[in-house]
Amino acid sequence: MIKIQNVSKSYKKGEKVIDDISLEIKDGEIFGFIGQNGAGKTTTIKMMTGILEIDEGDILIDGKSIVNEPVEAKKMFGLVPDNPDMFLKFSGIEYLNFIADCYNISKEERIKRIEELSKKFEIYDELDNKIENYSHGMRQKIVIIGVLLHNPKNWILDEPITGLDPKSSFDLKELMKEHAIKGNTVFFSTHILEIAEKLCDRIAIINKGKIIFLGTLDDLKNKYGNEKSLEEIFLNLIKMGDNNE
Amino acid sequence: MNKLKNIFNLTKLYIKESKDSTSILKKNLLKIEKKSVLYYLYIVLFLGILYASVEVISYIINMGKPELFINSFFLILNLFIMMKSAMVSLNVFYFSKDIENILHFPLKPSEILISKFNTLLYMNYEIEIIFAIIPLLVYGTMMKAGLMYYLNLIIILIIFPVFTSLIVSVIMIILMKTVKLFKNKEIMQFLISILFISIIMFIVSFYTIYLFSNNSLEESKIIVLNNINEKIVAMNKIFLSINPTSSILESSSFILVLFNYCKLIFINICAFVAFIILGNKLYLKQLLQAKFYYKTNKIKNIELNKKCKKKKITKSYIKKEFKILTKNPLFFIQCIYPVIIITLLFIVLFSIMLPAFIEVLQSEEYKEVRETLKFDIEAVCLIIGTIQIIGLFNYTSITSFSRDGKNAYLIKILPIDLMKQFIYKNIPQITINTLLSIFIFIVIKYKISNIGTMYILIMFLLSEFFTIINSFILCIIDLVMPKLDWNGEYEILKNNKNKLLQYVLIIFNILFLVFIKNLFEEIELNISLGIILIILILLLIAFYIFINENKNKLFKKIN
Repeated sequence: MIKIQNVSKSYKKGEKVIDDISLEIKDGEIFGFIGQNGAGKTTTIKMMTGILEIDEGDILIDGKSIVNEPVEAKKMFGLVPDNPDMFLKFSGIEYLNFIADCYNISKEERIKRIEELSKKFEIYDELDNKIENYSHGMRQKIVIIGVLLHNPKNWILDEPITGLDPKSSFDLKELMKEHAIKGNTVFFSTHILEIAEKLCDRIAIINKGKIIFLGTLDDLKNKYGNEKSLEEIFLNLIKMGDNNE
Repeated sequence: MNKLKNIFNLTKLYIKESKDSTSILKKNLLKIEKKSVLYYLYIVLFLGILYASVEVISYIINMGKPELFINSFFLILNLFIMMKSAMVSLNVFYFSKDIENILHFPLKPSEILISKFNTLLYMNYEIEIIFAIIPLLVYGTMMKAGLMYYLNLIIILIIFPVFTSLIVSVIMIILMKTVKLFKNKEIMQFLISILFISIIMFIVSFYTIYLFSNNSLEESKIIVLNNINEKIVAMNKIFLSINPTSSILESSSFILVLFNYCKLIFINICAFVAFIILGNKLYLKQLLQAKFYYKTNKIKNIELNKKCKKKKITKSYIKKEFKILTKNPLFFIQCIYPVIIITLLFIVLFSIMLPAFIEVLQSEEYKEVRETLKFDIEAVCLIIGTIQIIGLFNYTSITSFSRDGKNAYLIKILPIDLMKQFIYKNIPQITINTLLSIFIFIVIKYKISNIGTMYILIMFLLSEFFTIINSFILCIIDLVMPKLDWNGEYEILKNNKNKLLQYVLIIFNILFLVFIKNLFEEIELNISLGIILIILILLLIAFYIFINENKNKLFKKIN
C-alpha cells in the first residue's frame, strides 16, 4: 500500500510544483497517474521513492515513511525509471547481480528469478553482453528485470511502456495485472490514455501540481460525459483547471 | 576563397566546442573572463612563474651562460606542447561530438582536417600563454634586449607550436591506421593515448639521465653548465624546430635570424604538406570508421550458476565503483591516468636527481648546507605535501557522483544508507592514492636510507589521514555541485568546474603544511608527529559527523 499524505514540493520559494496532494493506493490495485508533460508526475514519483526531498507531508510505503525510515521504505518498492540508460559498461548479468546484492537476494533465488524473467522478456541470450550494445527496448527490459528481481510488493513505474516492442509491452502489462491480482500494488505514470483505460482500476489526473481528478474511469466518464472519449475528457479537464486559475 | 571561409568558420565552431572549463581564453575567444575562481588561480600561477623565472634566469645570467635558458626553455615548452597534443589530438581529430554534426555538410575532408588542426594549435597557444610569455619577457628584460627581441618573440610564439602540432597530428593519423587491429574503439583510444604519453615520458627520463650523467664535481659550475648546454643543443637537433627558434632570439645578426626563419618556415611547410597528403588519403575514411563504429552482440549460452554470485553489499558496491572506472577507458584516462603518470614521473626524476643532489652535497663547497640538513618536521611536511599534491591529480573523488550521470538517482532508491554510499564512493580514490603513496614511500626508504622505518610508517599514516580527508572534501564538492547531465564520458572533466576547486585544495594543502611546519618547528619531532596525528584523527571524526548529520542536505542534488 502507498499513502501520499498532503505532500507539497517547490523548487523556488512560493512556486509549488506539487501542491498538497494526497493519494492512497490500496493493495491489489493498479493505479494510473496521468498528466501532461511537466504536470508533476515525475516529481511525485521522485518524492515517493526518496529521490527528491519532500517539503511538506509524508509518503508511506507499506507503513514505512520515506522521510523517517528511508532504507526500510526503499526495500518495499521497485522503481522502473523513464530513462533506462544505466550501467552501460556492465553486462546485463553484472547489473542484475549488483541489484541482487543490494537487496540481499540469495544465490538460488537470483538464479531462479533471473532465468525466469529474462526468458519471459526474451533477453536471456543477451545477458552476457554489455548493456551499451542493447537497444532502447532491451535496456528497458533489463531495468524492469532488475526491479522485479527482489519481488517488491509495490511497483512504481515511470512511463514504463515507452520504448518497448508490442510483445514486451503486452508482457509487462500482463505482469502488472498478475502482480496486482496477488494483492500487490502497481503505481504507474503515463500520458498514454489508452493504456490507463485498459489497465487501471483507478486513476489520478494531475495538472500543475494539483490532483484534478481521483477515481475510477467509470466515475470519470459518468461525471464528464459518457459519449466523450477519454482524450476529450482529459483535455477538457486540463482546460477547466487552467481557466480556474 | 570559399575554402578559406569554410576553414575559418569551422575553426571558430570547433574552438568554441572544444572549450574546457579551465580554458584561459573564454567566450569571445580572445577575452579573459575575470569573475571566476580560475582567474585568480591563474594570477597565483603567473606570480609563481614570474618568481621562478626571475630566480632561474638571474642564476643562469650570473653564471655567464644565458643561452642555456633559451635552449632549455624551448625544449621544455616543446615537451609541454607534445604532451598536450598527445593527450587531446585523438579527441580533437576523431572523437569530438561536433564532427558528427557537420559530416553531412558539403565540406572537403581537408577543410575539416585543417580546421581540426587549428583547434589543436589554439589549445597549444593556451599552453604558451600560460607557460611561455612571462619567462621569455623576464629573460628579455634581464638581458636588456632590444625591440627586435620582442618582435621576434611575438613571431616565434606564433610559429613555434605549429611544427610539433603537425608532427603529433601526422603520427596520430598513422596510428589511427591501426584502427582495424582493434575491435573496440575505446580500447584503441586508450592504448594510443597511453602509447603516446609513455613515449614522451621516456623522452623526459632519457633527457634527464643524459643531462645529469658525466658531470664531474671536480669541474667548476661554469664548466658543468657548459656541458649541459652543449648536450641540450645536441638533443634539440632531434626536434628540428627548437634550435632555429633559439637562434632567432639569441642572435644579433640579421642574416642569421633570416636564415633561421627560412629554416623554420621550410620545415613547417614540409610537415604541413605531409599532414595534408596523409590527411587527404586517410582522414575521412578513418573518421567514418571511428564515428560510426558498431559492435554486434554475441549470443551466448550463459551459465547462470557460474555467473551469479552473492556478495556482501559493501563488496559489491565497491566493486561496482571500480568497474565503472576501469571498464570505461575514458573515465580511466581522465580520472586515474594523470595521477599514475605524475607518480611515475616523480619517481623517475626523484631517482635520477637525488643521487646527483647527494653527490653535489658531498663537496666541500656545500659543507654548510649539508650540516643544516636533517630529518625534521620540515622534511616530514615536504614529503607528505609532495605525496598529497601528486595524489590530488587523481580525479576519482571529484567525479564520484558525477560519473553516474543520469542514473545517479539510483543512489537514492537503493536500500543502502547514504553515509555508507558516501564512504563507498571514496574508496577508489583512497585505494589508488594509498597504493601510490606506498610506492613512493618504498622509493624514499630505498633512496634515503637514514630515515628510520618507524618514521616512514608514521609519515605513511599521516599521509593516509590527509588522503582520506582530501577525498572526503572532494566527494562533498561533487555531491553539492554534481555534473550529472553529460552526454559523453569525456565531458566528465572537460566542462566540470569542480576540478578548479581541486586545484584550490592543492594550494590549501600546501598552506596547511606550511602552517604545521611553522607551528611545530621548535617542538621535538616525535611529539609534533603525535600532535599532528591527533589533529588529523579529530578532523576526520569531525568530517564524519558533519557528513552523517547533513547527509540528506548533501545528497539533495542527486536526483
